[in-house]
Formats: sequence, structure tokens, C-alpha cells
Amino acid sequence: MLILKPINMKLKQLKKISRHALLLCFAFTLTGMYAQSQITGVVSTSDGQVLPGVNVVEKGTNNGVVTDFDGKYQITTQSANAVLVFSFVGFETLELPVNGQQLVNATMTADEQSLQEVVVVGYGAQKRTDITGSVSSVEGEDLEKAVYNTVDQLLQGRSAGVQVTSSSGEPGANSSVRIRGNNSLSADNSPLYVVDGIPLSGTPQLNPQDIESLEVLKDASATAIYGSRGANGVILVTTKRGQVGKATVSVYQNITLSETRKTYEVLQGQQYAEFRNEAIADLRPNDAPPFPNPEQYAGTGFNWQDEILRTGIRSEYGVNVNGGEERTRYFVSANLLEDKGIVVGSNYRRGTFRTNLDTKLFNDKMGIKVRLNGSHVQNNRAITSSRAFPAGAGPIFYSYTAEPIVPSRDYAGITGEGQQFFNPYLEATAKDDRNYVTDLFASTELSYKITPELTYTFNGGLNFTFNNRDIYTPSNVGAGIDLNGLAQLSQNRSYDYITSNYLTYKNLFAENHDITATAGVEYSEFNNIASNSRVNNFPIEALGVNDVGSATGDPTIGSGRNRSVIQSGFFRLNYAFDSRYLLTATIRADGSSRFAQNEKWGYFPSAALGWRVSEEAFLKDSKTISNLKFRASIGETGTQSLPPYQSLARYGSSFYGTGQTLNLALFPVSVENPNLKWETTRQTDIGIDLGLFQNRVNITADYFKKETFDLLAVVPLPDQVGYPSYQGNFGSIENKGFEFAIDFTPVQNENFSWSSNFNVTFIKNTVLELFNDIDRFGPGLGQNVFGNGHLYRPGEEFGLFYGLKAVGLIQESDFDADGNPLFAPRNGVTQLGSWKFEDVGGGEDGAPDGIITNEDRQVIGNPNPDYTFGWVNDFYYKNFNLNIFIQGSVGNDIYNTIGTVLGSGFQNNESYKNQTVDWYLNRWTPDNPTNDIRYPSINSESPPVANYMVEDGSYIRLQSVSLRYNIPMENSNTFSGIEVYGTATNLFTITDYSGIDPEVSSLGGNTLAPGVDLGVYPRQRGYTMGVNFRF
Amino acid sequence: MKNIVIILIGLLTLSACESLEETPFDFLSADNLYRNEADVDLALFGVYSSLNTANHDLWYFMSTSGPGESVTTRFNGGNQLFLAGLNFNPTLAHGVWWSNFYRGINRANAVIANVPGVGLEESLAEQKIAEARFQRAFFYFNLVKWFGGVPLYLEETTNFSEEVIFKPRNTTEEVYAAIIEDLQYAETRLPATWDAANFGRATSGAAKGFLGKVYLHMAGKPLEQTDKYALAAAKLKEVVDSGVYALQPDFGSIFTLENERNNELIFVRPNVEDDAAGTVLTFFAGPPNTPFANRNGQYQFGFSLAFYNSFSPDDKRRDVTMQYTYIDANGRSITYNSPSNPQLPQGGYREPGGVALGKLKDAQNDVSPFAHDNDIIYMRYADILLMLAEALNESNQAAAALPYLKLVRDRAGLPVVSTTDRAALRAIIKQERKWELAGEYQEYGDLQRWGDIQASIANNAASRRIGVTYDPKMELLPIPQGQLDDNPNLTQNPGY
Repeated sequence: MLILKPINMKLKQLKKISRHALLLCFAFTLTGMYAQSQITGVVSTSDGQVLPGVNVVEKGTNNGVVTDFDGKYQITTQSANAVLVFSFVGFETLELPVNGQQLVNATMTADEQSLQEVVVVGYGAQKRTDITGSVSSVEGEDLEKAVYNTVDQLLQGRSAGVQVTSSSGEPGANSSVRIRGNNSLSADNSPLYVVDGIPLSGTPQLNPQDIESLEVLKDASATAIYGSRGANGVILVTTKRGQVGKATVSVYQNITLSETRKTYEVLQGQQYAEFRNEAIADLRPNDAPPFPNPEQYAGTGFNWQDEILRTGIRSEYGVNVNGGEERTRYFVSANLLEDKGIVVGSNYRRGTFRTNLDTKLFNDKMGIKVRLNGSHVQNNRAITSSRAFPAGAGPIFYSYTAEPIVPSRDYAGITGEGQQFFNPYLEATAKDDRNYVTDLFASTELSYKITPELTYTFNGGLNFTFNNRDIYTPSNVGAGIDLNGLAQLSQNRSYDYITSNYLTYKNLFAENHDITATAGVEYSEFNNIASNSRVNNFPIEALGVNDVGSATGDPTIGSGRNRSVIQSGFFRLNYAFDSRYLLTATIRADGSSRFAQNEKWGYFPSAALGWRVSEEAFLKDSKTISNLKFRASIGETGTQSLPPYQSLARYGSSFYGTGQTLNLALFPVSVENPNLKWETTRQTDIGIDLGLFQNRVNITADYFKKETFDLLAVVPLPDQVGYPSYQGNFGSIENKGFEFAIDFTPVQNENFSWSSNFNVTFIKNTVLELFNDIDRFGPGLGQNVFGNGHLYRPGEEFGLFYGLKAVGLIQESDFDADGNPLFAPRNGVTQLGSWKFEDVGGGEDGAPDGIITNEDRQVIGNPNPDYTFGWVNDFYYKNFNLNIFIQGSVGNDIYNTIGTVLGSGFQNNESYKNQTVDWYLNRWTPDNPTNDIRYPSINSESPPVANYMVEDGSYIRLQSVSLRYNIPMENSNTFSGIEVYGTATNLFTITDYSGIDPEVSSLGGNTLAPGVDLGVYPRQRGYTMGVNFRF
Repeated sequence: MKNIVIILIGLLTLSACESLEETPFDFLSADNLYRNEADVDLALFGVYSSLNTANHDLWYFMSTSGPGESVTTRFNGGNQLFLAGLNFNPTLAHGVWWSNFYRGINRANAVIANVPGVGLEESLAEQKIAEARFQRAFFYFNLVKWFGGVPLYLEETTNFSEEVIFKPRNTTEEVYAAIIEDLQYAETRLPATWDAANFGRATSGAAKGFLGKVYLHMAGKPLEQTDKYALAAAKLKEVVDSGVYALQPDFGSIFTLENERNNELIFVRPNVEDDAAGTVLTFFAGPPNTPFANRNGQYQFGFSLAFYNSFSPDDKRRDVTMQYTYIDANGRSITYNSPSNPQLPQGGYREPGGVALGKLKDAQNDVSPFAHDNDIIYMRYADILLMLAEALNESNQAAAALPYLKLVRDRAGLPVVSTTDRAALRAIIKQERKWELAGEYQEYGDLQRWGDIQASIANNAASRRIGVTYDPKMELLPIPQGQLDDNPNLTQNPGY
């Protein structure tokens, strides 16, 4: 869905509008008892095709209708001598006098000048055909056919070059969105969201139903106007606005039932008891078995996954009203969402409202747009860990690993062999974890036409976010056990203000020279204020976090505050010669408070050329090629997403005791870096847009190359200087890729149409240069068990999996006659059934040294997909619409870390974790001397990061199937339209991945740790039934 | 209308000019700190607090007391076993405190650089600088003992130019020279004592005591500047003669929380019950379900049975140093390596890691693991007495050494030693140090300077478990690998 607006999209819009039209018609019929004159007719094109969706308005009134699917309209005019105005995008507006007739057919002529979709770009709009950059669009109607809670999920699979990975299936969880790969190792790689012209500092908290369209700006020509915030791509969100005509009221409701895709089959009852007995007998033969009579446990115990998983219920209700006159239009919407996820105790509730007002004043010289959005979320969370020490992973992880044989579901005592039992069910249900997020977003755009050519625009916005988290961990859950109840409160407020002022000059000189120039300034200010408190020891637990004053422990409190500002100036020139040769040049200057004294200002230029070959004489009359454009662009953008104050010399604080006195202790924590600056991304893009057969087939292909240099990097220092690292600029990273999107309409006739669009993205993300060429590693893979497993090495791909390579299990034949191992042992381990690793380094000049150490790590996998794709199909048959959306990722590996935890039978910190039946039945034993590295023996060594964790994570997913039916409403005197639909989400996935879900990113918050599966809130399979009423 | 709009544009455009200078709201910088004596003290506390990080005390213990033959661990691998067994490699956790000591050095340098600008009266300013220099010397002494010559930073780091960050190692002699200079500056400018609320801050006695210890180490291996024995003896004698310190009559009372700030203590890190200002060592040492450590006590290490048996049953120190038998939180009697092994709070059992440490006891067993109150004792008077005896013996004044040895042995309930044979007395003093100072971060340093590592390894249970035999490289710890990676000019110690 790239670049050129395909005709099938337009048709879809027509149909959508035609539905409105039908409803309106009937509404008029029913209320039209005082009608003066009823007029019908058919609207068609000059070559005889009927035109649905045409606006038909009685001139000088608000009285209007829209043509139906067959191009027919019916209007009751107030005067028999009325004039009807027919208008439709892409056609010349037609006025026909009624002259007392009852049948008025209209033939509309295509308007070559305006047969152009207009696309929102930064600080303005442009005709799609004039765009020289890489911009793809996702229309609201496409989005309505799937069930989403958040804006970022909307983009998955919809647009070439955009990769969306949801971090978990928790209701309301954010996704990681990457436009053309990762540009940065330590700064944020998320795109900039611009909502109705206002750039935000995070992901917008909108009701996805309120979105008219999303534009994804990808190349430098499109993004450089956003300067130091444009490097990760820009997503322009345009919300719906009112349509001229009679008020339309839509009421919609849907309900989704969901379930987990898959669970792990872990040991239960007798088998578990036998496993534990065997483990202890192997480790300490003199000890009594923890479960003396395993048979007695047959059929007892708990499958904790069953205890914490349930059928999720998501329900959504909404209403919106839109309408308006020629001068003033409105769109008002409200939405309530409740998502009781599939883990007990989780409940996400959100209410949103929106009011969009558009008005024109002073002979249409002045335009005012007001956008108001409020949202409030109450999220009862059930998934987060409540154990501070040792590290914990929350109920999902424990539901796999927790001991099944305990006396009751609410048990919180000691396990059979004397360890504290952490109950996953209590962690999900007894812990009180509430997150309240209130987001207010308002903006006003005021534009004034100073002359017909010159327009002034002011756009001002504010975004206030209040994020509170209240947690009570009772004395039978996690950290609360030791602390006798723990309450934690945190409060974050942010106040962001953004204003921009710009002038737009547009003129056509000498017939052929079309110039549009935009110049302006912008000011943004971001304020963050946070506080938190924590107290433990609750004699009465009933009140918990709601009355922290009842705790007897010493409270801990903290607070913080920061502010940053950006001042900017920007300029853009669009020049088109004879609609054939296009030039775009932009520059933005950004002054950011976050950067150092010497580097406050950055300048971000771009230039692009386009050649519309199809406008050349030799192609103009081609029957085959309806559109052909070549594009090329180059430019620089930046990233400034580091916290404020990083360039300053700062003092931090802690405490130090003298005698029995607790003193404040102050010390330097950073040294001024007078040269800290933004990251710069230089991007070149070459693209082609091709439309065939009157744009029934549209192809867009882009090749791009991005290099980001001066990476914002935490540069490691030798600790001898007193600091472990500093925030600097060092290193570079490259993304090269190819995007391809095709829209086509294989079938299109009166009763049936099929349109399809497919996009695919190939990206190669390479680390070019790092500080001192020192390898960097990702974070630990988690659970106090595994070390780091991601490599960042100059010349290598981004985030390669790096670890040991197990080549088999230790067998009796692996020892010589004297019992000496014939393999290289790790930590001296020679236990039969443990892993044998490949010895590839550690000795002189990197030669094998006969033992396994960190020096023997090698590249064992690659989390980067070879390609990702999305494929949307829309079938229309009469009043039915079937939408099928498939997406996938091919060639990426996953660290199935949870799989290793559940399938290696090792003892960690003197406790065992429950294991899968699969491992237990196939594990190495003297009787079953398997060499399969997935089945080590009981009490194998604590697993290092190695290839047994790595699996192919490729998948193809039927993301959603939606069947919709418009109930014919000719005879209703209440409704103007009813649509019923059923949608299945995440219906099936084709994958070889053995874990719960191949779309996984347990450590998604950390850019440096892609593709890790540690057991997250499972992504659900959902079945939705919904109905939309229109009045 | 047009004019109004133009004016409006102008106003809106101009209104957007806020400064790009950053206004910090929630932190300080050197510019608004260091205004008076109280501020300087906060910065000095910042220097002291360099060692208060989560697991510093664990790894400090494991790499100072751990390599002695007396300490064992329950682990079958990992940092604990490798440090206790002298199976050193550059990626072990001792790297944590390399970093912490250097962090402290820079903080001390920052105080030294900033005090002159505060405008304090000269002697007070010098006292503050002396307090910072004492700590700097203490940090460098820790580094030089265990790593040999290390890069010497005597100025605050204010930029990260290559000359600053890629500084190579100085020689061992150079580092010792800097330490001596700092301690000599400090000993004449620091107060002899502090009031109770300030207990734990550096004193002239601590400066002299460490100066004596520094000389003693320089006299031993690897430098073997034997003329330093006389300097050590003289300096340690000054501590004795100061009259500030005395042995506690009862060995056990040195270590109790009730008797903190007793006059046997010379330099301690005075912990208080706070996650940021307490110690985690009690938690790591303590068996579970005890009335003297967090009830989930990790019991990661303890003393070997052989060490326990090396004590005379009459030695009053044995049952203070080790808890062979104790009463757990449920009132049960627990005896080491018997069916009544330590119990978890509600039952169950944890494999013992040796005979449990008895010198760190905190009656609050529900305290946060990181917030134990026990002070970390870096130097106490018995150490001074034994060092003095050793220095005198090595300076050919065995007879003069005997009274100091006697003070220590008398308290322990051991018979009087009367030999003046240097070698015999040396052996007795060495053994006395092992008994007296067990688990007090002295063992590895003592073995080093005595050249006894090779002999000790034969008796080291942890070494035997992993089959480690003596290698000369074990005389020093390896420079942490991360430091070598980050500084190409840093060289590894020989053998690693």
C-alpha cells in the first residue's frame, strides 16, 4: 500500500460512502412528508460507468445526499427550481438546475487536475502524484476490520518497511515499531508520531476507531522536515472529521472471546514426584526422597497454567456523531473498552472521547480546526514480577515452572523439599497492581489566506499525561512474603507543549512552473515530574496500597523533575515543471536543550527528484501504463532521544552511615561532555511507482540505504577514571533494504470485487563501527541463570545470537581408558548426559585450548528476518465483505530461553523448576543415551547461552479474517444501516517454533535484546462478534 | 484583517524563544555544592560510600578472605568456588571492587580539588583534604596489594581524552609512594577521635595504622623492602602509644551490634540499617532461618572443618568466629554437618557451606538482605598488635614482640609464648593472625606478603575440589577482563 493511491482503495471508499448514502436516502424518505419535490437520478461518468458516493446537495442549503452503489440518488428538494450540486473527488463539480423535473441524471467529467489523492505530509498536504519521497498510507477503513487496542498495532503487516512486534499479549501492551530497521544502539528506535500536525513525545493514546488515515514517512525527503526527530521515520496520524451533510450517528458494539494458542505440557502428579526423587537421588544419594511414595501423587496437584489462564473477554462500545454544514463540521466520538485478558486478574479498561471541529470564517479565508482527545485507562495488571530478590519473572513464568504438588491453590508456604513456594495463582490474583493513565491531547490549527497564494498557519497543541501505578504485594506473594506486605506507589506527570507557525506559498507560473514553499518555526517543551514511595509491614492487609499509612515499616520516597525544549525552523520547496519533473528540497534547523554547549543546533537537509514518465508525450496515451514515476532522494535526519541533562557534570546521591547516623552522601556521577549531539542518519532512496490498466494494478518499489553515524552511545570507559562509561557519540550502523508493495484488483464488477494488496520488506541491518571496535553485548537473558547472548560487532548484523555451540551430550565413549575426557570440559563438568561444547578459542592466537570458556562463544543465530510481509485481501459480494489479512516473518531466529528452562532438568539455586513431559520422556539416561542436545540428563549443568536455545522463528500467520454483512435497511424507519460482522484474530500460525508464539520479544524494552522468549503474557486467539448501527 | 494576522504571526513566532540552556531541577553539580563545611562533609561521605554497592562486600570477602585455606563454599562452581579455590581468571567478580575502589579514588580527587575553593579556615580545609587523601590511600592500598602496580590517578577526572582514559599501569613502587605520601599528610591533620555520631570517619590513628600496614606489606613479597619492617614497627608503636585503643576484654564483644564503636576498632565502614548504607555480607554468610541474619540467609560460604579443628578447644575465639552449634529461629539446636543441618524458615534444608561465620550477627532476621547493620571492620587494634609483633620479630627484636603477642593470646585464653627464635615466632604470629582475624579480609594479603600461597593451597579445600595446584600467577589477582577490553594500554598480570 505504497505511494500511489490504488483504484481499489477508492472503490472501497465509494462503497463505504454509498452505504451512508443509502441510509441517508431512506432517512429522508421517511421524514420527507413536507417535501416539495422529490428528484431521483443516476450519476455516471462520461464513459458510462455509474458513480457511487457522489455528493448531491441542493445549492444554498444543507440538504444533501450521496449516490448509492448503483450511482442512484434520491433527494427531496425544498424548491422545485433548485439547483443540484454534484461533487466527487477527482471529478469536476457539476451544477444542474432541476427545472421542475423529477428525473435528473448527471454525467460527471474527470478532473485531471484533481484526480489526485491528497496526502498529508509534514506541515501541509500534497497531491500523491507530486510526492517525491517514500510515503505509504493506511486507510481507516482497512483498520476497522481488525480488533486492536492500540495505535501501534494497527501498522503490523500493513505497510512495507514497517516492522511491528508486540512485546506480549497483555491487554494494552505496547509494540515495538521499526521503520526501515534499527538506526541506533542505545537511543530509541521508535518512530515519531505526529497527530493532526502535532509531534508527540510517545505513542498517542487514541481510540483506533477515530483514525482516518495513517501516513508513514520513510525516506529522508519525507522525514527531514522533522529534523532531529525524523531518523526513525514519522507516522502521521489524521483523525476523522465531520462530513458535510445530515448528522450521522453510529453506534457500535463488539465482543471478543479469546484463548491462548498453546500451553506447555509440564510434569504433573506422580511423574513430577518421580522426577524430583530421581534428581535428589542423583545429586545426594544419601538423602531421603522428597516424595517418598510417588504413586500417591497420581492425579493430584495443580497445572498452574490452567489456574491462571481463562477465556478472555473483550468488549467495546462506541458512538460517534458526525455531520456539518459547508462552513462548520464536527466529529464527536466516545468509546469504552474493557479487555479482561486471558490471565486471571488482568483487566484493561479504557474510555476515550474525541471532539473534532472544523470551521471556516471570513469568506473561507480563515480556517480553524480544533481537536480534543481524552483517554483514561485503568489497567489491573497481573503479569509483572513481584519478587525483588532473587530475580523473578511473574506469574506467567512461574505457571510453567512452579511445583505442581502443593496442598492447595492458595498455598504460599514451603515446598516438599523446603523451598519457599511462590504461587503463580496468588501472584496473578492476590497482588493488587493498578495502573491509571490519563491522557489529554488538544490542538488548534488556525490558518489564514493572506492572499490567494499565501497562507499562514498556526498549530498549537498540548499533551498532558498522568500515569499512576499503585501496587500492593500481600504477605503471601513474592516480595511481600519477606516484607510482610509491600506497597509501592509511583506517579508520573508529563506536560508537553508544542506550537508551530508557518507560511505556505503556492503559485503556478507561466503555466508550467508549479511552486509550493513552506517556511516556519516550531517550539516544543517537554516537562516530566515523577514521584514514588514504598512502604512495607502491613499489620492489616485489607487496606493495602489504599492506606499506606497503616504500614509500620519505614517509608522510602523519591521524586524527580526534568524539562527539555526544542526550537526549530524549517523550510520546504516543492517545484514541479509541467507535472513531469518534480523537485523537493527541505531543511530544518533544530536547537535542542538536550545537547551539549557546543552542539545545541543541528541542520537537517534533504533533496529529492521525481520524474513522472507517464506524463511524457510518449506514454501519455498508453492504455497499459497509467502511471509511472521514478523517485530519488537523499537527506539527513537525526535522533535526539536521550534523557535531558546527559551532557552536564552531575552529582548523584546515596546514603552513608557514621556511628548510627544515616547521612546524605554526594558524589560526581558524570563529567561534562561539551560535544554531545544528535545521531545523524543519512538516507538515500530510489523508488518507482507504476500504475497499470487505469491503476487497477499499482506497484511501488523502493531501495534504500541508511547510515547512522555519531551514534548516541554509552561509551565504555576503563573504570580507573572513576566512571564506568559516558554518554557520547560514537559508532555507526547501516540499514540497506528493499521494499515492494503491490495493490491490484483482479476482479471488479457490479456484484463482486476482489482487491488485494501485498507488501514485503527485506532489510539488512549491519553494525559498521563501534567504540574502539570493541564488541558490545546485549543484556543478560534473564532469571539469574543466563548470561548475555547478543553480539554487536563491527561488520556483523545487528544483534546476532552469540553463545556456545553444543555438539552433543557426554557419553561413556567420550572418555579414554584412564577416564580422562576426550572432549573439552566446561567448568570441569564431565557428567554423563551433560552438554559437550565445541572448543573454538581461548588459546594462543585464538586456537582451541581444551577447555570451554567464554572464548568459545560463536555466532549461533540471527534474530533479523530475511523478510517480513503482509497480505490483505478484500472480497465484496453484494452486501458481504470478507477481509483476510495474513502476515509473517521469515528467516529470523528466536532464543527459546523458556524452553531451555523447562527442558534441561538443572538445579538452580538449590531448587528445581518444573519441566516439560517431552524433556522428561526423552532425556539422557544410561538406558537412553541420546545425543540430542535438547534432552540433557537430569542435574545437567546450569545451561549457558548456547545453540540449544536457538530456534527458527519464521512464521506465517492468519492475522485476521473478518466477514461483514450490511443488512439491507430499505424498510426500517429507525436505522439507516446495520452492519454485522465476525472477526477471528490470530486464527492460525504456520511455524516450526516450539514455544508458545513465534512473535515474541520478552525483552522488547531493550533494543539490544531482540528475539528472546522468556515466557510472556501469551498472545491470544480471539473471536469477535460485532454490530454497527447507523441512524 | 491582513495586518492583524501579520502582527499575530510576529507575536507567535517571537513567543517561541525559550533558552536552550538546560535547567537542572533534581540534581546538583560541583557549582552549587561545596559552599561550606557541611557540604564538604556530604561529599566526603560520598567518597566513603563508594564501597556501599549491592554485592561489593560479598566479592570483597570472597577475594580477600576467600583464597585463604580456612574459607569454603557450598557452590560447585561459579565465582565463589573459583575465588576460594584460587582458580582465578580475569572475568571473575573481583572486578566489581576494582571498579568501586577507582570510583572512590575519583570521588576523593574531586573533594581534594574542590575544598580549596570553599573558603574554609586553612587547618579545617587541610583536615578535609586529609580525610579524602586517607581514603584515596586506603583505596590504592587495596588495589596495589592484590593487583600490583595500577594506573595512578591523583587528579579528578574532568575529561575523557585518551591521555586520561588510556593511562597505563604505574609500578608497584610508584603506587606505594603515593599511598605513603597521602597517609603521611593525613596522619598529622586528622583528628584522633570523632564523636559517636561521626564514628567511622578517618582518624590519625587509622592513618598511622594503615601506614604501618603499608610498610609491612612493602617489607614482604613482592617488593621485599625489608628495611620497611623498622618503619612499620615505629609507626605501629605510635598507634599503641596513642592510648586511644585497647583490646576488648571479651573477644565476642568486638563484633556485636550492641558494642559498635568500641575502642578496639580503628577503621570500619559503619553500616546502618538501610539498603544503601548496610551490608549484604551478613545475608550471604548467614545460614537460613537463624536469629542472626536475614531468614533466607544464603550460607554461601563458611569455615572449613579443618580450620575449626585447628583451634584449641580452650581458645575463646573459636566459638565466636564460627557457629558450630547454634540455636535457630525456631529454637532448634543446629549442629554443623549433622542430621540437624540448618533449616529453612518453615522446615526443609540447605546444604551447608562450611561452619557458619559468627562474626557477623544481626538479630533482625526480617531486615532487607542489603540492609544488615554489621560494620565492616577493616582494621582493629588486635591487628595492630600482631603486626607490631611481626614487624619487631622481623627487625630482629623478637623479645620486644612478645608482649604484644601476649596481649592477644591472653584474651583468647592461650598460653604465653616465650620463644625468641625468629622463625618459630614468625610461625606462631602467622597462625595467630589466622585465628584472630579469620574472615576479616586479611588472609589473601597475608599469604601474599609471606610467600605462603603455595603452602596454603595444599590445605585449601576449595582448591582441592577443583584440582587447582600452585601457579606463580596466583600471587596477584588478574586485572579484570573488562578493564583490559576498555583500555588497550592496560597490561595483564603475568600468567593470566
